[in-house]
Amino acid sequence: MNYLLFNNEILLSDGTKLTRIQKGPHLSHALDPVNEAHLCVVDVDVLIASASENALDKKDGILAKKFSATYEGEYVLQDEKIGNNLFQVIGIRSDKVKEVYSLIPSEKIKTFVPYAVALRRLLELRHTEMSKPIVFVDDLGAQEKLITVFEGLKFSRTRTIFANQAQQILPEIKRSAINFEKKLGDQKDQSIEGFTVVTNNATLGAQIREIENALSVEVLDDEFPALEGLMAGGFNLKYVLPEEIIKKRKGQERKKQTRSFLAGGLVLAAAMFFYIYGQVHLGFLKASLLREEASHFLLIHELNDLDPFVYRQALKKQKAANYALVFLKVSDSIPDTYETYSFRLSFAPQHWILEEYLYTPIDGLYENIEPRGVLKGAFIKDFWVNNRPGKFLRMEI
Amino acid sequence: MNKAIISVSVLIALLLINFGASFHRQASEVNEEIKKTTQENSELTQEIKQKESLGRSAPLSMTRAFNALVNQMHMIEAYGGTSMELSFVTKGDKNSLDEYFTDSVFQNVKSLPVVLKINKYSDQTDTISVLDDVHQLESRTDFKVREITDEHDVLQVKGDLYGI
Repeated sequence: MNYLLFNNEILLSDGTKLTRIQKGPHLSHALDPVNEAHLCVVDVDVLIASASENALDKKDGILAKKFSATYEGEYVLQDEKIGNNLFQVIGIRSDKVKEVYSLIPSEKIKTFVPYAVALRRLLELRHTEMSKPIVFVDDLGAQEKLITVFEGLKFSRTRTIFANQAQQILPEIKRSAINFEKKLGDQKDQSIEGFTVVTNNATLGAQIREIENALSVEVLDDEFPALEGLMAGGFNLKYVLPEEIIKKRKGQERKKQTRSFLAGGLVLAAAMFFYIYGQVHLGFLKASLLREEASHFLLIHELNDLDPFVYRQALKKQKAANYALVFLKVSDSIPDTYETYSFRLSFAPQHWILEEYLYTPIDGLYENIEPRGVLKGAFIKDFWVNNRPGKFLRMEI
Repeated sequence: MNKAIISVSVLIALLLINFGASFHRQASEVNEEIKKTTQENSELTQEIKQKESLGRSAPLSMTRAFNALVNQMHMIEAYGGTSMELSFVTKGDKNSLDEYFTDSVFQNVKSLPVVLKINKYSDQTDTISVLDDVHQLESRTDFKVREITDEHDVLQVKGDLYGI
């Protein structure tokens, strides 16, 4: 991971070693080894503006309009909420953002924040008292000092001065504080007058204390505080070129379209499979039915041809039962006191059925007929036959 | 665009599913028909097997079968002493014997429904010997008895004569 600070020169840190890269024709080559970049840009413009939080879709438009009324030119804007319906709009010039993206490919840039935001992150990290206004003097070395004023979450535009002596720097600190107070106007929470000077240069801190005893001075032991803040991470802002946003949106749209095509294709494929399977299956079944029907036709034909040659044998088989003999045996099994009134022999599909009505011609002789022997299984019941008591008998032969 | 893609896909898919479902319904019906025909074929095969196991014999024309029946009736009347009266089961006027023929349970074989009446038989010839005569008549011809009834000493035999 690499941490970069874009100012007049570029400070590049890999977490352990710091490199200063001068701007020039070989700058992109110098930044080639950068893989995952977390960077901050010093040159930003800030505006505190109000907008309704309830109309989120309109908020960005209102803030952009207010910002463009104050600052001319093309900016890439980001905002952060600092109070009720109050936003801090931070703009970086489009050409500056383009320059950064031209040096480092967008996919490598993981963090892209204003310098002051990275610095504010470090102050949070070092538990610096933020309830009081702070003027941060960042000594970048080689006489270059960056002065940023903080009031709560609000911060000023960062000024760059080239000086080493506290006598030269102190008026700049005061001027920055006054300018920021003026700019905030009635949007400030407290007076900037009682500010604290925070610096990463212990010597400078001591000199300021000597010159102005009443001034509260705090020294941080961080050589490059903004880079330390970047290392801490946890930023909600990221500056991206409109083209990048459009590209990203197009990419997302393409992905959505691909997903839609894929989903649609899958649905279609499943439906197509269902359709084709149904059609093929039906085709197979129809062919199978055709085979069975052909087979049926041939069997019927075969049976038609066969029947004239086997009907006599079939009849013979059906005529095998000698009902005369059975009738004789049945008659022998019935007591002599009974006489046959009528009978009926009928051929059911598989066997003969005998139904016989018997009566007793002699008074007082009405014997019971036991269903045994040849009469086993016969249905026998009392019946009034020929005005005489008798029996009805039914049996299968 | 995405919604349009999904909508069109879903619409086409629904159409395909609808057609597919129609094929599946038809397939189900055809399957039922196959099952039914297969069952019928199986029964026919079984019937053919059973009939083939009976052995074959040359078919008789209806005229010859009828003549054989009449001859046997006369023989039984002469030797058994049973008097038989043959009549056809008919509805309306018929001009020829062919018109009495009906389709039989055997394919390409006709049947002629007839009724034999044995009005009175002598004291010597009891019911059993008459039944035996009827059975003899049945055994020696292509006549098949369906029903024999006896009421008030009138024995009536209903049956069918088979021939081609």
